[in-house]
Amino acid sequence: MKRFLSMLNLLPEIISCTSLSITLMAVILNVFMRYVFNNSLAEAEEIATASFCWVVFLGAAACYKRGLHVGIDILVSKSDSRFSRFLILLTGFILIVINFYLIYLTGYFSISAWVKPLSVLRIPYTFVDISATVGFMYMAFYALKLFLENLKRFIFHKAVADRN
Amino acid sequence: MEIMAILPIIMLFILFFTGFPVAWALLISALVYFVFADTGMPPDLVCQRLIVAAESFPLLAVPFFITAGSVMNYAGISKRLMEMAEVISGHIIGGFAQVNIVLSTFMGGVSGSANADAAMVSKVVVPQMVEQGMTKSFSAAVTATSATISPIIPPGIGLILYALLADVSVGKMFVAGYFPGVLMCLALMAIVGIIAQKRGYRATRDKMASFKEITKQLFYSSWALFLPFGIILGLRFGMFTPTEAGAMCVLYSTIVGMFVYRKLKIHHFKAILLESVLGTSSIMIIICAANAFGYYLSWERIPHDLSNAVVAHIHSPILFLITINLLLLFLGMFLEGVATLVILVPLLIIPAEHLGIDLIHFGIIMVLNLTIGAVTPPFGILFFTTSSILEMRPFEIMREALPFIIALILCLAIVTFTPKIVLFLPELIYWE
Repeated sequence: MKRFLSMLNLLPEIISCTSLSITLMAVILNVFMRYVFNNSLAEAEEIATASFCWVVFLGAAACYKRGLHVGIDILVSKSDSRFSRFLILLTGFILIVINFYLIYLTGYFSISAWVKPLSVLRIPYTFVDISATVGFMYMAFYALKLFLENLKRFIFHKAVADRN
Repeated sequence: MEIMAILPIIMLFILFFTGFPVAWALLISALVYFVFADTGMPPDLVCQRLIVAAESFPLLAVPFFITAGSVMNYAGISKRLMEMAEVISGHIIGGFAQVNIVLSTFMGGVSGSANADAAMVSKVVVPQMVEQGMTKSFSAAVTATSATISPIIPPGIGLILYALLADVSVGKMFVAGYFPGVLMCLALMAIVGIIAQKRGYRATRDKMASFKEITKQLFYSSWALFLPFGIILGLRFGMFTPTEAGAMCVLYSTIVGMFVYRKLKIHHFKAILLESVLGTSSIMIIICAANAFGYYLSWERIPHDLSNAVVAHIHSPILFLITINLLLLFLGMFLEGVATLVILVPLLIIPAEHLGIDLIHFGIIMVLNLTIGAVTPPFGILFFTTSSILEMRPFEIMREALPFIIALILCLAIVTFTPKIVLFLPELIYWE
């Protein structure tokens, strides 16, 4: 069970790195086919762009886990006032809400794309668009985890301040 | 104008400054508009715009050039470039500070990302600068400001993004970046020379390297130095698209790293892929979110209205460029470069084109402005990158960086008022 959970935790990195390799290989193979066999692969471009969606959204989840998304956080991170700690909590809460809302919206959008096939591969767009839903599911989970950690810190800090 | 029409812009600024990641600030602002404004459009339109941006084939050039930069680091190419930089600039007063700037110029040709360059140089060159007697804050200031050269030298990510957004040739944008990049390099080297003279910072070698030594080092580094020219030749003669050029760069650097320099091993690929994914996704999610936010701007016809307002009030191209420079320098102090580029390019190219400004020239001005924004207080991202690696406070670097920032702004002024500096090479290489 523990191994399964750690695998699940690493899934964004595994999927996004594999997808990047597929994207790269598809484009290189297409150039190779064009120059060596004088015949472009029509599927290559679709495979590359479909994989790229998985790189972007699952990679974004991997960045979320590591706190790598660019933001101006020095106003809140450098100050240790009660207000800045409250602001961090509030920001975290809004991010949870928005990530869950985005799961709903992208999920709805992906399901409705079932009837729309990719022009060459003829598979439904859902297989591409669902990458955003999976990505936001992970990001909502990481946002929730971070919020609980910050909440614990906020309460603990308050308890220490009260004792003093 | 209704309050709902400008509410997303106000919200965007509030969210930026309250610590929201840039991509989420853009998404929330766009969502609020499509959920609460009476547009008659469903909010999942925001999702469509978000996902569609990631399905763009031309944008694949971004992860490919990032991956190529990462492969080159592991392949030992960066080390060869450092040795080359030392051979050609080590004899100049300021020693390793001069080497630092020349290395950033060379690195621009392989990584294209200011952050990656600043991180690499902070680890490799700064310890040697400190050992040579330079202060840590001076060394960090040189590193942060010289990293701004990388995005201007091809294959800079900003150049690719602008070319795609403004629908101009990526190849032309690439070659247009060379002279401004070299100009920035010379200006920063001059400032280092003046400061080194005052503080007595020595050169790393007593005299200039011999012709034989330069030729030998050139031969060793030629595999890395050839790369940008290979990209430009491939694009110029239509051998491949910019995206394919990026993929071929990855293939080329892998072959050089594994079979020529023999530094790149199979076990490095896990780290290379992860670094590339993280570097790509943090940029791409901003581009996707900015695309969604851009839809709100188009829905409210803000680019059109802005263009009309500019054309009605500003009749001179020079006055327009001065206004844009001041606006972008100001925005660059607070906003993230990629997001600003994605939002502002569609807004500004319409009036620029109307006033007869060459879009390649305009693109270099925009990218240069936003790159300088990465070293302007209070939120210059490069100060934070270098300060976190060197374990110091960003403020210490900012003070030392002031003369360098002034030099960069002077370069911007020269590039703005002398379009020939930018357009000479594209006109020469793309002669038809």
